[in-house]
Amino acid sequence: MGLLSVIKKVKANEKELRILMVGLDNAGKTTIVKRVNGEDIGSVSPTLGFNIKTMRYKGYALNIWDVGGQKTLRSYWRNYYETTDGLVWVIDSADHRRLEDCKEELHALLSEEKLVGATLLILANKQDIPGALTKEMLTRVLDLRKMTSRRWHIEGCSALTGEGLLQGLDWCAEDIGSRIYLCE
Amino acid sequence: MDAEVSVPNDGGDQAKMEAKRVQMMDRLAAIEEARKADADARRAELDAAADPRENIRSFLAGFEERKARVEGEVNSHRSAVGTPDAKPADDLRAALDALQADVIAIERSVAEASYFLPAYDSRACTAAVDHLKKTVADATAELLPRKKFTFSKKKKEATASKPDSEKKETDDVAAQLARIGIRTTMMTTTSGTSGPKGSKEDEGPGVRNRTGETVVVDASSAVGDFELKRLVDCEVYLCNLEPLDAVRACDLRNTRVYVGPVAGSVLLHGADACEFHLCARQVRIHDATNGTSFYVRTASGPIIEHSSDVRFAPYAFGYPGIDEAMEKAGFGGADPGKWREVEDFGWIKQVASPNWRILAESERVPPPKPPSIDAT
Repeated sequence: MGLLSVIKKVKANEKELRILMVGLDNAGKTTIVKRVNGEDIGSVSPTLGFNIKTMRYKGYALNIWDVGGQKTLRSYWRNYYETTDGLVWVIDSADHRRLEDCKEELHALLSEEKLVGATLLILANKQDIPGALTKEMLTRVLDLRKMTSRRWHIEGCSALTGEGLLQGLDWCAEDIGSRIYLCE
Repeated sequence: MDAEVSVPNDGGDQAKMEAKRVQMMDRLAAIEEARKADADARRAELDAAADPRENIRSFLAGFEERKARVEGEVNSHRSAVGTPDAKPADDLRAALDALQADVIAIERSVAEASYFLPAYDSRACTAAVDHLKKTVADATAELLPRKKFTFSKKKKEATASKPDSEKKETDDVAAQLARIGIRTTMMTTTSGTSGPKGSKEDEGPGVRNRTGETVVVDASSAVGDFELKRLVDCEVYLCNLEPLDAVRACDLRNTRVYVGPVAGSVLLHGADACEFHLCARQVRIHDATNGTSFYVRTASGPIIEHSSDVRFAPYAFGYPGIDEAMEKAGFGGADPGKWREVEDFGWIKQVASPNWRILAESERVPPPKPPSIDAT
């Protein structure tokens, strides 16, 4: 038992979780990553390509792949699906006009075979803006209850104030961690 | 033998021959003895090396015994039903579960023995195990039917109570959504087909569906997210005193837009021969064409996508109170000149994108003074 727990501990320390961050353009993906990392968010530019950030979080090494969401880049998302443990879908909750777009892209993404096992965290970003949809509204509008076989969670957050980000990430890391332990 | 036959009547040599024969027989006997001893030794060696557990006969005997025990117990449980000996359901379940585990153990032992069992015995044992499994499963189904019943009942309860709470919750949410102008009727459609255009209701602060007008937006109504939509031949002045969170513009034609500082981003989808004066953290331009020009100040380079023939120049718009608003939005000090660092997402080659260019100073049009609000 002693040896087993030691091995488990070592494994947990080495454990790398691969997180893919996607969402429509201007959702705030890069800003969220920078915020969580404690970097300056004032001069974030639209992502042309992708950014990778590795950070230690609760004994895990999180590899966050932040992929640009502009329309021309969306066709490249599929190159990042392989071996993704967790999927983070970021929504600009104040963007009422493109909710339908957002819903379509999300459901198209979830029908990808390579992402079937991935945990899904939905971040309803920009909750600080007046008129932003709440997470309950987004659950309804995006038809999230349709997903019955997947482990998912929606969290309201604001990259500007930092509210909700860590709760979301906590859930994500815990869910992936528990899933991986179950497999062992 | 040969000697005896070949020299039957040679009396003188008979004794000699007899001695020879005895000698030979002794040698043969010795060889025979040695061979036997050798074989015994080898057998003993083999016996010693052989795993006693791999004895076919003992395995089969043990198998029969275990099988008979399980069958006997199943039968005793069956016959106990309805008599005072009958066990309570929980005990019975535990007993049957234990029997099931026994059967699995037997099955495992058969699998382990399969490499030394003759093919026939191996098959027979496997068949017997299958039968045993079925016997126990049948007994479980027969003696404990209630297990299944409670399970389905529980499930029914759960599904029956869920829709009520869920329905109430979604009704509340639908009401909230309706208040801000988002229809939820299409939410029930199962596929991702694009819903009716009506889902994008024109709500919230904004200027929409105008033709040939000059609109000056009152500073107090220019808050949060501001939307500019379907404007033709218009002129829009947004002289906000507080930084806006975001400006979203779509489907503009031959329209001039003058906006004060935006703390977040400006998103543009579709502009034909327009002119924009923008100051925002990010400027994202989509589908702009036909000589649309942007006088911008940004914290990071503006980006264009699916656009062609667009021009860029520095921001020069001003009105009373803009300096304070810019300070609040994080645009204090001099323009760092990011406006010329344009990224074209539709152009990944090393050479400069042909879709945009910098407006020469001589081509730049100085922004007009915004008309006073009283004028509208």
